[in-house]
Amino acid sequence: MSSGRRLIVYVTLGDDLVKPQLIQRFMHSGCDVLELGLPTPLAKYDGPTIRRSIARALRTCDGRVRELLDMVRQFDAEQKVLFTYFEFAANMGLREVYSRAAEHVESVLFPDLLIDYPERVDEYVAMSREYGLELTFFVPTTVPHRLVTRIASLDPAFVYLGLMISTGVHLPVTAERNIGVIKRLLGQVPLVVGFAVRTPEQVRRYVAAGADGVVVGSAILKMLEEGEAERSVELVRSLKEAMES
Amino acid sequence: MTGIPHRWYNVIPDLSRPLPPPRDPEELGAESRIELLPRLFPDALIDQEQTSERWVEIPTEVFDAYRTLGRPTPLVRLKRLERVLGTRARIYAKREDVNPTGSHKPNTAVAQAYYARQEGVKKLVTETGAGQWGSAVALASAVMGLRCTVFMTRSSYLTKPYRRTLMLSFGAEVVSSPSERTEIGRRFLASDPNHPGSLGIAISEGVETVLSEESTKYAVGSVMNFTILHQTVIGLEAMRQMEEEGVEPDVIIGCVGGGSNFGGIALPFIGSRLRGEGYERTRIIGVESKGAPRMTTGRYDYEFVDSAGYLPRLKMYNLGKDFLPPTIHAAGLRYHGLSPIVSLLLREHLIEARSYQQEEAFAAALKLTRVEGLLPAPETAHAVSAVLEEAERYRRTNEEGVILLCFSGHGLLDLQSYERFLPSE
Repeated sequence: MSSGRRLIVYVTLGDDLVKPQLIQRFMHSGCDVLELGLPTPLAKYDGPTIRRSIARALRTCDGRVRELLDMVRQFDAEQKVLFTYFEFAANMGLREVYSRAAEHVESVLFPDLLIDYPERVDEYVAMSREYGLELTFFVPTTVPHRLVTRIASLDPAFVYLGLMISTGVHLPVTAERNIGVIKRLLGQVPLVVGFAVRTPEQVRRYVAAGADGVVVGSAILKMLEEGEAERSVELVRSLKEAMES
Repeated sequence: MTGIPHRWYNVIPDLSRPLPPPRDPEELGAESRIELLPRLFPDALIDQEQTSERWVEIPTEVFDAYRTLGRPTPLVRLKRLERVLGTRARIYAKREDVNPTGSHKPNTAVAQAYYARQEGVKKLVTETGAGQWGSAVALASAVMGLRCTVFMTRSSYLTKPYRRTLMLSFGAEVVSSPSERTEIGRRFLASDPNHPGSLGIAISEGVETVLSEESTKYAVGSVMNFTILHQTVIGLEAMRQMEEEGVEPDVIIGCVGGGSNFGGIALPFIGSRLRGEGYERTRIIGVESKGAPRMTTGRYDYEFVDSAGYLPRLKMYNLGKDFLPPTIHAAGLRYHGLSPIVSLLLREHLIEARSYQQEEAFAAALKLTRVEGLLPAPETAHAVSAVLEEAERYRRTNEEGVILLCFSGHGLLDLQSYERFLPSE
C-alpha cells in the first residue's frame, strides 16, 4: 500500500445503503483506502451504527456471509482492505477467506487477532505472505507495549489503533496521549486511528499527535441512514483536507 | 522515611497479551451499554480505564487525602506468628486496616470522589456488600463535599448494623438492597420478599439510580481497571518498604473479591517481573471463598458486571451474573465475577488461586489475633489461611522465605461473625 497520510473509509459488505457509485465518489473525494467489513453476527467491538449496518447486510445475504466475499471485487478502489473478525474467519476457514478475497485486496485485517488469538499471529502472517498480501494489525489502547514493538518488527503496512472501546461511540478518552504512546513504540511503521472519528478538528488533532492515517466509518453510515449521501461525500472531502492541512 | 508514591501504576502496558476490551451485549439490536459509561462515571476515570500509559499522576489533592488517611500504611513483621507456627519464613503484613474505615477501600474512593467533584458532580451512588466499600465512599464523599447513597446487600444490612451506622455518621444514605426504589430491586423483591441481595443486584440498583438523576455518578469499588490502578499505592509502598527492610517477597498473598486489594499489592511486583526487573521467583496467590469460587471453578468468558446487565460485559472468571452466593460472613468475597486484569493474570499463570471455607478462615484469623493482637476482616481472614498454609510449607522443608500478606481490613465491625467462630472454651 502507498505510504504517507491516508484516509480510510469503512463500509460493510452487503449493506444496501452502500452503493458502488457512492464508493466511487468517496474515492474521488480523498478516500485513499477502502475498508470492507465482512459482516458477522458476533460484532465484538462494533457500536450501534455499525451493528445496524451489519444487521442490514446479514438480511441482504440471508445469513450466507461467504457469498458477500465475492462482492469485494464490485467495489472499485485502488486499495482495499478486508476487515472481519478472526473468530469468524477461522470458523469459516482462513484459506477459504483468503482464496476468495486475496486477489482483490491489499490486506486482511482481523481486529480480534491480537486480543483473542495472539498465539495465531504466525498463522496470519504465513497466510498473508502466501497470498502476497501485506500485514495490518488492530490494537486497542490497552495493548501491551512489547506486543506493539513485536508487530512493528513484522513490517506491517499499518497498525490500526482503536481510540475508543467500540466503533462510533465517543468516550472521554484522551486520544492524543494514547496516539503519542503507540506512535513512539511503532517508530516508522504507519499508525492509523479510528473509532468515533467524525470531524475535521479531530483529524487535525490526531495527525498532530502522531497519526499517519484516520479511519471513518460510523459517521458515514449514519449519514447514509439519514439519506444524506451528499453530506457523507462532503465529510470524506473535509476529513482528507484536514489531514493534509 | 518511605513516602507515598506520586504516581499510580498501570500494569496493562506490561502485560503479555492485550486486556480484552469491554463488550456490548451479543445481540446486534441490543442497547449499547458502552454508550452509557460517560453517564455513570467521571470522564477522568473513563480516560484512566483506557490509557496506554504505564504511570498515572496522582493529583495533589488526592495525595494530600492519602496522607490524612494515614498513608503510607505500615509494613509490619509478624514475628510472634512466625514463632508459634515454628516456621523459618518471615511474615510481613501491609496494614491497610489502618485506613479510617478499616480497609484499603478509601485508596480509590477518595480518587473517585475527587474526580467526580472536579467535574461538577453533586452526589455519588454505590453498592456495598461487607460495608467496607460503602463506608469508604461515604467517607470520601464527606471529605470531597458530595452527597452519597449506598445500596447495601440486605444480608449485610441486617447483620452489620454498625457498618450502616458508620456510613450514616459520614452523612451518607444507606438503602437495603434489593429495594423498592428501583425497577430491578422491585423485581427481585417480588420473587422473594426476604431476598438476601447480592453485589450484582446492588450494582444494578445503583446504576439505575444514577441513570435517573442529574449530577450523580457511580462509584465502583473493584473490578474496573481504574479502581485497581488507584489501589497500586499499596504495592508501590510495600515494594519500597520491603527494599528498606532488605528483603524480597517469595510469596505475596491477598484475598480476592473483585480483585482490588489483591491487584493493588501484587501488580507493581508483577509489572517488575514482566519488565525483567526482578521478582522472577515471587509467587503470587489470590485467595477466594469456597462460597464464590470464581478463580478455581469459574469460566473465563464475557459476562455482565451486574445482575440486570445494565453495564457492559467484561471478560473475566465468573460464575454467571445470576449466581446467588451463599450468605457467607466475608460478604466482600461474594461476587460472581473478577477484575479482567486479575482474570488475565490467572489465565496466563502469573498468579495462583486458592479457596477456603469460612470456618478455616476464621480459625486462621484467630490464631493470628491471639499472638499479634490484630483482628482481620473476614475477607482478609481467607488470605491469612493461605499465609498459614505457606508458612507450614516452609516449616516442613525447613527453608527460609519471605511472605507478604495484604492485610486488607480489620474485623472490628464484624464481631458478630467472630462470635460464631470463637471456640467454646
